Amino acid sequence: MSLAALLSVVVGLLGADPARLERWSASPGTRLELARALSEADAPTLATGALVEALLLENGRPEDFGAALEAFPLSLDARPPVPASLVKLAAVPDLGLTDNQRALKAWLAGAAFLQAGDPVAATVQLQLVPPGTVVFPAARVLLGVAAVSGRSRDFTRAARDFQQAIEEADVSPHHRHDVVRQARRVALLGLGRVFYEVGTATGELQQLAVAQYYYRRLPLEAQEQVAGAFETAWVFLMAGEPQRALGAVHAARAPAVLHPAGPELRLVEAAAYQSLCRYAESRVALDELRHQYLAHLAPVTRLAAALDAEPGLDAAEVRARVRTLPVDVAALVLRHPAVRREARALEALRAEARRVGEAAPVAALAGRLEAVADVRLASGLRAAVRAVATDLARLDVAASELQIDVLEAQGERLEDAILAGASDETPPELRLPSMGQEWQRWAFDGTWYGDEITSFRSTLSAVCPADDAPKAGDTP
Amino acid sequence: MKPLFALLVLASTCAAARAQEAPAAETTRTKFYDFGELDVTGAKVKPSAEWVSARQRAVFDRLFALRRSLLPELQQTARPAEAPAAPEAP
Repeated sequence: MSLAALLSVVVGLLGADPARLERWSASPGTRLELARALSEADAPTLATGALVEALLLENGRPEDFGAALEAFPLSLDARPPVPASLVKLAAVPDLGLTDNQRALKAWLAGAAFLQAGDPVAATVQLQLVPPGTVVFPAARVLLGVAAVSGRSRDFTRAARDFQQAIEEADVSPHHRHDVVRQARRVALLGLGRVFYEVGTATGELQQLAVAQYYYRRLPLEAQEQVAGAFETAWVFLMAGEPQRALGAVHAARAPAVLHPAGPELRLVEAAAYQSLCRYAESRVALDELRHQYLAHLAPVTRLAAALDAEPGLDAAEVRARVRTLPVDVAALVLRHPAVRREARALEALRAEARRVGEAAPVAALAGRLEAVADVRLASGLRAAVRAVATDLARLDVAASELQIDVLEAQGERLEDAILAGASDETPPELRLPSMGQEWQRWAFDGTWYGDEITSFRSTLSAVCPADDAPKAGDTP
Repeated sequence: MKPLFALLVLASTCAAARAQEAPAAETTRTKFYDFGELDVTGAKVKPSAEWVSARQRAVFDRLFALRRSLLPELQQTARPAEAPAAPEAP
């Protein structure tokens, strides 16, 4: 039944009395009907909210849940969100549900348990998802995440689950479905992360080479590529390939990409240049990191403390406080995944509410959900401010340590040059060209660009003395 | 009276001057050195080779430890978002 038809029937039966309409919409069955109708009306966020409310009311009929579940939009990320309260789905009896409905129920409950911080319960639910269903690859991805979320951190099991997700996605009859394609991409990213972790923990370069392989297989246009480029830089750096790390840094720092890990990219860049004994470039990267971000650590820390002291602020008030920060740091907060996710969900909710109309049950539902969404957005903003303050404090320590190392090495280089009979001028390899403010630095061996370009190739050599030349696996 | 006082002053001044010259005459001594053949024996003392190697530059451990875990990102992989639609019980 379409939403318009459903509402016309309801309004026809109950009249326009708001109290009677509210009583009608308060029963689990009607909320489930509403969820299904909203989903059919292409209002997934509202539909999710109605389903969650029905679950919270309990006492719903399993077949009603099944029908609502089939209408549930499928996605691994924030489109649409999966509320932690969906763990209640685990208690809904399977009796009366079809195989597909049971798979959906187990997948949603597993995802909700994972979000609620219970990987063991999540694993139990996700293993109930049978092969061949549309959510099976996505369930294997979540199983892989659950394997490294517990205390045991079973990387072997995680790798196996991610690999199985890819294999299943390739042969799935639903391989064109968005959630299947998304599961495949996320599994590749997960495999890169697993092998990176194992490689850095054991020092085995082969594991890092495997991580590079999986990061390379990420489609260029995938949204996961943003995280992939940043993480690839770390993989190369830890594998003793600073030149390639620099290439990944520059790809991640392309002007078209608003990378949330911008400050850390500068640190990776400085460390890569240090590995190549190119100390002047390293210092430039460190100076930019300090000037653009670390200099503003104090105001961010103060803002985090002030927000903790005022828990009652709504999203608009918190956002106004964030905008008092220096622009680069404010951008870090507003670009934080927690904020973008909540803001996107709130916008989707408002857009759906406008599109669906002002019918009383829908308006009441939309009002309740919007109030919750506003609280969650405010919470996301607070979390982002705290995260940025913590990140900058961590980077401040790391940048200071790296700067001391670089200055010391640069001093030794100058001393060697003077002892060898050079004048007291800076040796040529330690100089940087001076450019105008309108140029952006593209620090490949003194090359500069003034416009966005699609691809770039450059070579860069180490200038280390022969004995200190970097070797594979030789990380600073 | 005045000529007598002047005579006394002159006499005391001459006596003081004679008293200062007297020690110089007493410290004038003659020393004799014998430069005849002497049998001097001894050994040359010098640092051994390992002590005179080139100045070693102090080497300090690097402060910056290059290590970054992606475990937080891994645990957030495919994490379903904190939802806007997580209402309290209606």
